[in-house]
Amino acid sequence: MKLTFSCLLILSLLAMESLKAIDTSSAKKPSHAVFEKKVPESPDDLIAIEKQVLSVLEKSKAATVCIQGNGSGSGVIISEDGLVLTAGHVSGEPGKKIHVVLQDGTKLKAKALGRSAAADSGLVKITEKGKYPFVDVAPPATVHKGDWIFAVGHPGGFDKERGLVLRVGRVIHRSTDTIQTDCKLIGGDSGGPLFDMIGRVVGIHSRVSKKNEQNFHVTVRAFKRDWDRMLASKIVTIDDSFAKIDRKGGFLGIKRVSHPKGVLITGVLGNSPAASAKLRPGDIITHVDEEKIEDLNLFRSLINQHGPGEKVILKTIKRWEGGNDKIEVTLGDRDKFIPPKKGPVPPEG
Amino acid sequence: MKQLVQIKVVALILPLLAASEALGQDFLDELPKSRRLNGESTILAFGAAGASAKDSTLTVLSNGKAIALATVLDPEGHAVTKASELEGMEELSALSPNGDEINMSLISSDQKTDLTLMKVEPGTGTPVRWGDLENVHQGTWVGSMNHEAEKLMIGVVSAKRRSIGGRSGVLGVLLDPNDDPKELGVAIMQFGPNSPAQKEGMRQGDLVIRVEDKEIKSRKDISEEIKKFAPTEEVRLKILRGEEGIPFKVTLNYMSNVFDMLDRNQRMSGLTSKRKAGFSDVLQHEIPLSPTAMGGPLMNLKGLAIGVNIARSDRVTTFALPSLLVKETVEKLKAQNQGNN
Repeated sequence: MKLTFSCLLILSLLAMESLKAIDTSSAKKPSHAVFEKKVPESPDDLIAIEKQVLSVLEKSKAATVCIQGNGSGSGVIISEDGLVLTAGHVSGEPGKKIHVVLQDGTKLKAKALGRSAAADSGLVKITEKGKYPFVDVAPPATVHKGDWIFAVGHPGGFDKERGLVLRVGRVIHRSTDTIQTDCKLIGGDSGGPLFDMIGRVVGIHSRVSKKNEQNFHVTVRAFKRDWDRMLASKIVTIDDSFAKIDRKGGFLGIKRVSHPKGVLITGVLGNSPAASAKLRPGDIITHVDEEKIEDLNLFRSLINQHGPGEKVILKTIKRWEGGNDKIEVTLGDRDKFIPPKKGPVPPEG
Repeated sequence: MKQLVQIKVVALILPLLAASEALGQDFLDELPKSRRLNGESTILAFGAAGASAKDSTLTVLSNGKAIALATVLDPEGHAVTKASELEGMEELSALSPNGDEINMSLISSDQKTDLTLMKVEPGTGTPVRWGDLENVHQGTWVGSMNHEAEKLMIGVVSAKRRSIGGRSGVLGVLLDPNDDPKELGVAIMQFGPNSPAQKEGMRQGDLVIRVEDKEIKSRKDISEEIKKFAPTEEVRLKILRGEEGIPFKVTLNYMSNVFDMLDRNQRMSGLTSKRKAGFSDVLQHEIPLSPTAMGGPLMNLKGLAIGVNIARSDRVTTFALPSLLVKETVEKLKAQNQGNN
């Protein structure tokens, strides 16, 4: 069954125990000036970062686990009863019996729940009853380019003498599904947590780049999007993922490419709602219905969840006039502009 | 399943190797390189401690090519560097902190720590000021010079201080996992890359029946015997080929030289030190140094050397010997040298 994005948003409001874990956020931003600076400027600035990391490190480590069963990976506990976020390629086949190892070496029975092949997110549940150390998960999209973060994991597998390994770095780039950082990763780290400076999980280690200081983590947003399906031990494929959700037929009428600030309009169809709203090539759409556009997929899904005649509010940067204007646009009927094709649905939204 | 001798095979989950990002330019929507952890702007925050690192670091050259760094110890021109990087290297010279090429000589080295005491012209560089490890913990900022002492790089102490076992050399053979412990001899199934046993003329199917004076019945017998020898040491073996017993002498290789190419994590780590194990006490940090940048001081933010880098181990791991161990070893090497004179 395919779920629409709006449906997921409603689901996330339900008081499900495990969803609460991913929505909890009580901590405050770190106060030191270095976290507002473009770069640390002095040893004192660096020490402030060190102190901030240390203030949350022990709690972060206590919740970080080694996951054994499909080789050795890492993960992080996010609820007292032992729900574990990890990478999809670490949790593996849903239902498979695996083991979760706490940092003191305690080996617990666990079960793989679902995973997303699209985002490489995965869920594992500790099946032995107990109260486990856990950490909060940051709300989606609370981490930004340039933010200081730290990575924890079991590179090379569990090693009690060595313990968990820390790496400190910055966010290089973030898209809907992926955070890129300069935290160094290697085999065994996969599935381990990326933390913000107040110790909330903001990502899960997923892939490495050929360059040592450029690695990739799954975002919280990617986890949230596929949450109910993963919890139900499903494998979410790229086709199920929100990049290709069911269209409701709303139509804007632009050609566009991704842009650091949102999506850049490269063409406007004549007589389309976009043309009526006086959108022009060169304009940038930064928000749809108050949601910040991080990449094309998100834009696509936010438009696609509306039907013909429904209104969306766009925030745009006009190439010629400047400013960040709010425009209300009534979407047209896609079928009237583009005759529906037979066969597979094209990916464009 | 075939199993490697003397190497714990840990099946690891590998992050998928993402597409090459090898573009030098900044992408519009990425954090500029200068502002990243090891970006030009960020490392300026290391301040005077960065300058201290530079002033106390020498580069060791072989035929004009940088092979290691060294830490300046005193005004007499003593310095320490990583011994195993200098093995078999010819035409050694050094670069002073201000880039002048100078003469150097080796005094003596210590197998246990892999440190070599060397000497350059008196007054070269600034003698390092040692710091203790009292306030050093996981998360402590550290900085060291990278290859040819060209650039300061920073990171944090990343794991527990500990010993790293497994100093022994290897034969570079894969042995029959189905050996019968009651029967004499274990068959060689395959050779690893750069296998010293293969180099000496051993063949697939040869039965190892004796290592030194020990009769071999199982793989464990072999590994227990080989474990007693360091890399570059010679071991006597006896092979049964058909009916014929053949004696061999094999110079053991570094485990890294043979098995790194079979280890996925090592393959994705780029170049690492050939000796990265067999240390009684190390600090682990995350600075992504080149294996040619071992031997230089590991500085804290106060500009005090809390250790000397001794091994680039993998993509996320560099080891440094703690300052106290370095100081003790240097004193020992100096005393030995005076004894010799």
